[in-house]
Amino acid sequence: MSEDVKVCVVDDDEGVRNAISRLLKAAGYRACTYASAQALLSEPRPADAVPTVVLTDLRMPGIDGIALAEQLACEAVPPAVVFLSAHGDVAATVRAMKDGAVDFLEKPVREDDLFEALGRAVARSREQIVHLQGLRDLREKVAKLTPRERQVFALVVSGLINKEAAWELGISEKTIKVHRARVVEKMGARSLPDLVRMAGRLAIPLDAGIPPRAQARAAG
Amino acid sequence: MQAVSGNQAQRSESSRLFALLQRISSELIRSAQGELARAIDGALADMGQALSADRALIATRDANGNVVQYAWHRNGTNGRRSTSDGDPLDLALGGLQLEDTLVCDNRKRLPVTLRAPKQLKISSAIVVPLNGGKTEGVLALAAKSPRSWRPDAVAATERLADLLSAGLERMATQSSLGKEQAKRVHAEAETLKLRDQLAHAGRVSMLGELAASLAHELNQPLTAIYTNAQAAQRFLDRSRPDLSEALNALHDLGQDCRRAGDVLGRLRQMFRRHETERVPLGAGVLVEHVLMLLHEDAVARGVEIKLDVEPDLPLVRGDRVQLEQVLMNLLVNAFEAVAGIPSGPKQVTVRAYARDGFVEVAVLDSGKGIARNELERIFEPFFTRKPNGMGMGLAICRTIVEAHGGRISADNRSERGAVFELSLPALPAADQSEGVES
Repeated sequence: MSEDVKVCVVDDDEGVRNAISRLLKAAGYRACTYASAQALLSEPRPADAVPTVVLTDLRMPGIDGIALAEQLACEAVPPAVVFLSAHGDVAATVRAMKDGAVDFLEKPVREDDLFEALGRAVARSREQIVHLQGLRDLREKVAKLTPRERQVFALVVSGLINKEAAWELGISEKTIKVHRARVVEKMGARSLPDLVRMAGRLAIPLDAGIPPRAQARAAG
Repeated sequence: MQAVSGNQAQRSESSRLFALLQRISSELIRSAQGELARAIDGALADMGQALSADRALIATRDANGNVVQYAWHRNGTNGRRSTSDGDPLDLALGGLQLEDTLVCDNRKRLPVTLRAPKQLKISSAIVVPLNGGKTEGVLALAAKSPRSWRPDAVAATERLADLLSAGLERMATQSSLGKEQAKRVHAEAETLKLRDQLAHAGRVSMLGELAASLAHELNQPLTAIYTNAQAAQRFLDRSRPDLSEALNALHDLGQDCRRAGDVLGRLRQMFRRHETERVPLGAGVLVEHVLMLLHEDAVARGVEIKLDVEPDLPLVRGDRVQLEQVLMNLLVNAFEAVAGIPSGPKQVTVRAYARDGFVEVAVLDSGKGIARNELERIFEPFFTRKPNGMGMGLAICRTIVEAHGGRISADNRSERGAVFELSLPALPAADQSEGVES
C-alpha cells in the first residue's frame, strides 16, 4: 500500500477482531480494532482526512452495525462502511444495502473477497474525500472574491453576456470584463464552462447576483 | 395345604376381579359421550365372562319414563334395546323393586318375576338395585345353572352397578345438554387438539433454536481460524517471511480451535446428559407414538401412512425423547416430500424389522426422491433442500443415532421416492426381559 489507508475493525468478538486486523496488516493496511461501536464513535477524528473504511459486525451489543453506519454517515467526512456478519442475517442485509453500505460480507470471509470489497470501499472513501476537499478549496476561493466580483460571478454563470451583465449592474461593459477576468483568475477556472461547474458544486443559485431590476424583468 | 391353596386361588380370583373393575372404571371415565354405550356393553360382557354368567343386564328408566337396557348374552346378542322389543328378562325386571342386593343360588330363591318366564332358563342370579334403590332399575347377572355366588362376585357386581349407573347418569345428563354445552365440549376437544399441535411445534422450534445458536457460536471461532490461517500464509509467503507475525497468527488459531471445540463439547454434553435415561425401548412403540403426534400433520397434508412392524422385534436401548425426535424429523421430511408432488399417491411407509443384531426402521416416501449429488451431503450440517431450512435437522439426527451406536442412511427407492434407514443395535437377548418403557 503506497497510499495511507485506514481500516477500522469493529467486532465484539476479540478472536475475530484480532484475526481480521492481522490479515489486513499482512496485506499492508493500517488497521485499528474496536470492541464496540461506541469505542469507535468516541475516538477523535484526525484533522487530515485519509481514506477510511469501517469494517463492522452487524450484530453487536449496544449500538449495532446498522446504527453505527447511520451515525458515521452524519460525520463531516463520512468513512466508507463494509458489513461483515454471520450467515443468515438476510433482513439486516437488505437494510444495510438501503443505507448505502458499499459491501456486505459473510463470515467466514475469503481474503480475496475481503480485499476486493476493501478496494471498492477505499476508492469510495477517496472519492468522498476528494469531493469534500475540492468543495472546501472552492469555498476558500469564493471567500477571497470582492462583493462586486461575486455579483459578476453569479451573473456570468447564469448565462448573461457581458453587455447584459453591465446593464444589470449599471456599470460599463469594460469594467465587467475586468471583474470577470479577476473572477476567472481567483477561482482558477480554465474556461467559462469550468466556472459554471464550480458554481454548480458550490450550489450558487443562478439568480444570486441579479439585482431586483433584472428579477422584475425576468418575471415580467 | 389344600385350604391354603384354595385361599390363594380365591385371592387371585379377587384380585383379577378388582383389576377388571379398575379397567372398566377407567374406560367409563375416559369414554366420550358417543362411546359410553359401547363401554357399558363391553363392561357387561367382561363381567359376565369373568363370573361365568350366561346373561348380564342393566335396566333403568330414562327422563321420559322409557325403559333403557343394555344386555349381554353368552350366545351373542348384545346391545341396547327398548322395552317394545319385549325381552322377557327385561319384562321380568320391570316389575322388580329392590332395596338391597338379591343373591339367588337356585331357582326356588329367584323372585317370581324371574322364575316365571320359563324361556329365560335362569336358575341363579345376583340382582343389584341401582344407586342403592334410589333409582328405579337393576343390574342382574344370571346363570342357567344353580350356583352359590361367592361374596367377592357379589361385591364386584355391586361395584359394577355403581360404575354403570354413574355411566348411565352421565349419558342422560349429556344427552340433555343444550347447544351451548355441546359447543363447550367441542371447544374442549379443539383445545386438546391445539395443545397437541403446540407440543409438536414446540419440539420442532426447540430443534431450530438449538441449531441457530450452535451455528452462530461456531461461526465466530471458525471465522477467526480461517482469517488467521490466511494471515499466516501471507506473512510466510513473502520474499522475507515475517516469522514472528506468522507464529502469532498460528498461536491465536490454536486458541480459536479450542474455542470451537468447547462449543462442540457443550453440545455433546447436552446429549450425554441424557445417557442415564437410556432404557430398553420397543421400536414399534416409538414409531406408533410419533405417528400419533404427527397424525394431524399427515391428515392436513393428505398423506397416507402405512405401518409395517415385524412382530417380536428385539428391544433397543436409547433415550426415548431423542429417538422420537429423530423419527419425527424423518417423518416430517417424508410428509413434506410427498405433499409437494402434483399427482400420484402421497404415501409414507414405516417399516421396522430385525436384521443381523440390529433393529432397522425405514421411512419410505413416494416423493420425488433425492438428487445423486445431494444424497452425499444430505446429513451434513447446514445442507438444506428447503427454502427456509436451517440444514440442521438431519445433521442432528445423525449425531443422535451415532451417539446410540447406530447408523442412519438415505437412498432413493428403485420405484418412486426416497428411503431413510435408521439402524440401532438390538439389546442382547439376556437384556430383553428388562422393563420396557412405553
